[in-house]
Parts: sequence; C-alpha cells; structure tokens
Amino acid sequence: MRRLSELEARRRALLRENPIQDPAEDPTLSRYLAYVGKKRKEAEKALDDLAIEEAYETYLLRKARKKSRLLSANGEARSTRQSRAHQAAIFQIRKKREELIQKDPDAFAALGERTVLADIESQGAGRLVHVPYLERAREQIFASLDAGIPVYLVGHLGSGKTQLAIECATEFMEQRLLQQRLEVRMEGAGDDPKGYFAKIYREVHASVQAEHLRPYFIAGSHDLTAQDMFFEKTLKLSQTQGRGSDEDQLSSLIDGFAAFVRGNAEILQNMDKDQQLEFMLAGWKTFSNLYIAEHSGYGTTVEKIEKEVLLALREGKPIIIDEINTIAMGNLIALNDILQHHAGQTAYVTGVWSLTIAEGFCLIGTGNLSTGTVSYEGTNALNPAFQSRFTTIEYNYAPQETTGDLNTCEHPEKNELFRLLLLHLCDREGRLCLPKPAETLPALYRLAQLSRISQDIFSGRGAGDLAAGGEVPVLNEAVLSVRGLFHVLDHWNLGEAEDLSMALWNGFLSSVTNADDRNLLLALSVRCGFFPETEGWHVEAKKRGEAPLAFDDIRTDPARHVVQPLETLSREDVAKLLFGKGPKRTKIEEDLGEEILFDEGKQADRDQGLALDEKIRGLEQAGDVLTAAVTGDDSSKG
Amino acid sequence: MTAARGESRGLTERILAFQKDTAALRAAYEKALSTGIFPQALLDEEARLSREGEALLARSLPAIRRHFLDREDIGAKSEVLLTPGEDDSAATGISKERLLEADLSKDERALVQSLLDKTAPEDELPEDLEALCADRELTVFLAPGTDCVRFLFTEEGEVYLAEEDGGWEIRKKPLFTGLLAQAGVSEGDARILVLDGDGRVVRLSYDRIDTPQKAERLNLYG
Repeated sequence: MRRLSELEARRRALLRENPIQDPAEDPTLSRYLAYVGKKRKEAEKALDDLAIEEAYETYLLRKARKKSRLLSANGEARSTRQSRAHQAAIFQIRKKREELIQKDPDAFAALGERTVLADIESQGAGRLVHVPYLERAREQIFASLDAGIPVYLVGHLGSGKTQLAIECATEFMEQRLLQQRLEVRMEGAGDDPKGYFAKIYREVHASVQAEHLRPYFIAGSHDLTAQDMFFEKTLKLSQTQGRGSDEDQLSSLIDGFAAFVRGNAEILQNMDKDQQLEFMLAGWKTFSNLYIAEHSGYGTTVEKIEKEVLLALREGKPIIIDEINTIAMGNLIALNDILQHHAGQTAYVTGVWSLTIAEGFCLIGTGNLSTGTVSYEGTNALNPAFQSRFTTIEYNYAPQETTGDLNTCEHPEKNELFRLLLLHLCDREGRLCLPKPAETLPALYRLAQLSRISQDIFSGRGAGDLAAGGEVPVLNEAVLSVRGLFHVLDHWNLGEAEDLSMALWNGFLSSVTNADDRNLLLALSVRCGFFPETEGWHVEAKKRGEAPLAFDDIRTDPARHVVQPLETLSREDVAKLLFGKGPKRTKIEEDLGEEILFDEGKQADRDQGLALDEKIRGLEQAGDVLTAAVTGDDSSKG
Repeated sequence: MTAARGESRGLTERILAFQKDTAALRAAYEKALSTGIFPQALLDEEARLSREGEALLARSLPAIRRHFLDREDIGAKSEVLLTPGEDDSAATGISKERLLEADLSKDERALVQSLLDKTAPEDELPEDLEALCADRELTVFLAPGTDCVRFLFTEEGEVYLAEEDGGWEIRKKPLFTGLLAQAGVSEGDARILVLDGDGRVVRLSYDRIDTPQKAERLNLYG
C-alpha cells in the first residue's frame, strides 16, 4: 500500500520542477499522475459546461428584460415570468458550481488555478483583479446601470475607483454588443438553441473583445464648465480657397455652371443662337464672380465642437466623470436633467435644447471621500439633491485579516490583499519564485496585514487594539495602499539586494513626508515584525508632534542582507495558498484505489512541517545559548 | 584543574558538533519542505539532537545562569505575604494570632515563624563573595540565600543577586531598590522571605534558569 499523502507530495514536487525521483521509476506514481491528469480534465470540462450554461441563461435573461423594457409604459425593465425563471436558473447553476468545488478536489484545484491565471492576465493588462470585494462592487454597479441609474463611486486614495469605473463602463458596452450579436446569430439556432449557443458563444465573445470598446472619459477639475462637458464654441478663421489645385477649382466651377445650364435648358431652347450666347456669357460671368466671392474670402466663423457628455448621449455610450466632486456645483447642476432620465427619454441639455438619450448611455462619477482626519485638496461635498440622483457606492480597500498569521489562517480566501500581493510576484504561468518560502510567505502575509492596518487607520475605520487605553492613532496623509504595496515589492525584487524591511523603507516609508504619519507607520511596521533589532534596526517609539525618524536613526548595522537562492512554488501551490486546500481525495474509482491508503486528512503535511520547523528553531536557539554561555566564556577566559 | 579544563574542552567540542548537526538538519528540512515529505531519518535526527541539546543545556546550566545574570527579563518579583494587624504594635510586629489567621501553608507558616524569630542578621558571606562585594563597594548587611544563590541587601536599600558557578558573580543591576529588611530566610534557590522595615513579610523571587527548557527559551538579545 502507498500513502496518498506521499504520492500527492511527489506529484506536487514534480509540478515545482523539483522532482524527488523520475516518475518513470515509480509505476504507482505514474499511474497516479495519469489518474489525476484525467480527473482534472473532466473537472475542467464540467466547469466549462457550467460557465456556458450560465452564459446562456444570462443571454436569455437580458433578452427577457429587453422585451419587458419595450413593453413597459415608462421604458424601464420590470420583472416578468421569463426573467424570473432565467434568474432562478442562474442561481441554480452557481449553486451547482459551489457544490462541485466543495466536493471534488480536482474541480477545486482546476478552478483555483484558472482563477490564478485569469488574475495574472488582468494584472498584466493593467486591469483590476477580480477579488470578491471587487465583484460585490461590480454587481452593485451593473445592477444600477441596468436600471438606468447613474453611479457615484466614492472612496479613499489608491483603492482603484477610476479603474473600476472604466472597467465597468467598458464591460457594460461589451455586454450590450455581445447581446446584440448573440441575438442576431441565434436567429439561425434551429431546434437546439442551447447546443447552438454553446457552439457560437466563444466566437461571438471573442469578436466583441476584438472591438476594444472604450467609454468616454472626463477628468474633473474646478475649472471644468458646462461647455467643457457638452459642447465648445470656438472661433474659426475660414479660408476656403486654395486647398485644391487650379484644375480642381476650374472643374468645380464648370460643373456648377453646367448644372445651372441644365436647370435653365427650357429657357435657352426658346432663344435664338445670339441670345443664347449672350445669356450664357452673362451667366458665366455672374456665376464665376459669385464663385470667387464665395470661395476666396477670409473670415471668422463660430464652430461648435461636441464634447464627451453630449457625444455619449447621442451615441449611446457610457461616460465617466472622474473626480466629479472637484467640479464646481454650479456647473454640475447642468447634468441634472440627464441624470434623472434614462435611455429612450428626452432630456434637456444646456445650450442644445433637448435630445433623446440613446440606448447604452450611462454615467459613472468617481470621487475621493474626505473624512474628519483626511482632507483631499480641491474636493467638495456634493449637493445632496444632486447626489440623490446617483446610486452612491463606497469602494475602498480589499479585505485582509489583521490578526493571526499565515500558518494559522483558517480562511485564506478572505485575505484578498494578500492575494493581490502574491499575484504581483507570480510569473505568467502562475508560478512563484521566492527565497526561503517558509519564512518569506509569512513575512509577505504580515506586509499585507500592515497595509490593511494602515488603511483602516487612514480611513477612520478603527485601529483595533492599537487605540486601547491610549491616543487613537491617526494617519492624515499617508497610507500603504495597493499601489504602495506594489512599490515595496518592486523595490524588494524577491530579496535580491535588500530584505523586506529595507524595501518597506525605500519603497514607501522614506516617501512619507508627514512626520507623525511616518513615525506611526514605522511603529506599525515593527509591530508587524519588520525592522527587527536582530537584523540591524532600532526603531524608537515617537509621540505625536516629534520629529520624523530618518534612515540613520533606525539603521544600526549597514550590511546584514544575505542573498538567498530562489525556490519555485507551482501554480497549484499558489492556488492552495490563496484559496485553501479544498476537499480531500477520499476515493479513486480505478484499480489504483486498492493500492492506496487514503491518509490525507490524517497526515497534515503542513502541520508536520511547521511543528518540525519549531523544533529545529528550538535546537538552533539552544545552540546559540550554549555558545554564548560556554564557548564564549571559554574564549574570553582563554 | 587539568581534568576540569579537559572536560570544558570536551563540552565545547560537543556544543560545536551539536550546532553543526543542527545546521545540517535545517538544510535537510528546507529541502524536504519543498517536497512536503519528511523522511523518517530526518525525524530521528531531530529526536537525537533534541536529547543531546537537553543534556548539554542541563550540564551547562550554572554557566548559562552566570552568563545571563545581567539579562533584563530576569523576572524579579516581590509579593507581600503578611502585614501586621491593627492591634500589632511596631515593637512586637506580627502577632502569633495574626500568623495563624493568615492564608499560608504549614511549611510557609513555619518559615515565616523562623523569620519572625530571627533577632539579627546572621548570614555569613563566603569569603570570595565578601571580597567581590568589597570590590564593588557594596556594604552588605543581610545576605539570605543558599550555597549557590545569595540576595545581598545593602544599606542603600538595594538588593543584588549573586550566583555561584565555580566562583561567585554579582548581577550588575540590583534586583530591587528601596527595600530595607530586618531579617531574611531562604525559601529555595530562587526565593527568600524577608521582614521589611514596616514589619511586613515579603517574598522576593526571580526567574532562575533551573531547567534546560528555560535555558532554551532565553532571549539572547534581551
């Protein structure tokens, strides 16, 4: 009998390209590898089928809503029997997928790896990673846009509001185009619409992606006026002659005269030849004079250039107004009538009179949220009457547990900030190369915790036990946002030239200019295990109002960093770190199952590794104590 | 003397070998960690080194105590066991009735009684410790303790700790300050009872490194 835990460990070692032995030398392992490979493919197929089923039901739901909108009195989509049935079917499919990944270890692993790859692709393309916190915000935004209600996204700096607005607006356009194209293609579906949909969906989806749709975008500022949003009047110096060649000009003149002659053919027929000649000469002279007068003048004309909001209204596209709360309220009021009407209705637009809002128009505004402790220069609170026309969605920082450590963390999937951080370090294939992963991964987890603690303090969401019995900590200007975290990781560069504490200083803390903020962030870093005295740091506690700690104040030993070799974690390892271990394999349907002892639940390899690590640390500590007390004494005596 | 030096050299070699083996174990562990498989030989080696480490620590305890005598986290504690009652006069101190009423075990009560019975300091200092006190210019008037530990009370109200390991060593910083005592008795290697200036019975103690486990948990940088 072979233990399943051992076979699993060997399989995962192969994925890390660090095989314990050649699988060809181990027939049971080879059979196990083949079995897992087959099961993974089956699981991927099951996940694909569910994804297509969900896409089909979503297509039908949108079609039903569109029909309902056409039939309704005010152009709004109301729930119908069909739309409810499709919505229920979507929920059922999601439930089925949830059950599948909770029960099937291969489906869990396949979905985890797919998610890692999709996340890396998003990050690589500069898009947001779809962590659950983001998904919840997206769902709220789409629900609001579908209902024709504009969205106002508010939050603190560095949370990714603008990017979220752009992505949601783009996806809103893509969804509409996808629906239009699917509806056209599905006309030829025949007797098996579901089967036909499965065949065409990917192709249609790819064709929509290839369009590279982009919404209109305005960057808000205090100087932005209604003209800048709707249309701009500009004076233009027009000089119409001289663009074409002389031949072109003459041809144009002759063409015009020929048309004149054709228009007066009846009059000419009633004249004799001389009269005709005289008439033609007088006509030609007058015509050419008029042509010259019209085409040779210089002059100033008023030209109207349509701007983004007006273009979006006419073309039925989304418009994003970034930092909307920096625009003077008097100018924002010009949007009022547009905000309370939806596609198909008529709205008044300043300086244009009225126009019908085209299907597909929607508006997303973003703004920073000033609080009692943080003030964003140049922003205003929106007039409540104006804001009431929006669905206001607060979007801040991704969740992360701030207590406990990586090894004792029971729900890794809830640590979305840690997920963003690890994904930033992965290669394109989802592999993660780290120096001493057993020590580095917990340190990275603590970095995510530090980031979240700073975000909590900055956004005034409480400082947990930090405030117990003392002054409530406050950050006024600086916060370790996701952007800041990435700077730190880029400085660290997998520990090639500096350790994480040094990278934290170089990539973030040294840029913090507010003295109180820097001192507090340093104290928080020490609390999270950075800048340890044993590695040549000494961070003194500072009170509010004291001078900021500088590099020379905290560095006691300049050269402590030792470059460690990199070790590779596979994509499956990364998925397990981010989403947990998932269900255990409890059976193998083939003959192979009879040769295997299912011990994965009992043999907690990670726990065993941790316990052993603890014991070895104890031995190392004992060695250090003995050396200091006995060997050190001997040498001093000797 | 030669035998002692030889023994010390043998101990040093064992410690160096222990450290080398531990480093090899760490390397083997790191390698195993990347595969998730911990071979039995690795576990056996860890068990062997645990036994060896414990034996070395047990054997080196006196040296470790001396070396870490000046550590900050020495765990000095003072606890008032008994205060004179309202009826007890300053001259007579704690009465017998008060002692009987006190929440003390039989042994503690007997020890407190022997403390109360002491009329004058009678703890003599070993000669070499006395010389060391003179070097440090400590005017010690009371020195309760055992053959290997002494609590040295000075006229300035400071209490110093002295440990013996082939020779006495006095902690640089006092364990307690502002404490004047009339008499004291030992309650073991790490604890004494004293009668303070207010006639109270006070237990003074510190966290003595008396097991290999405590030695292993020492803060090297504290």
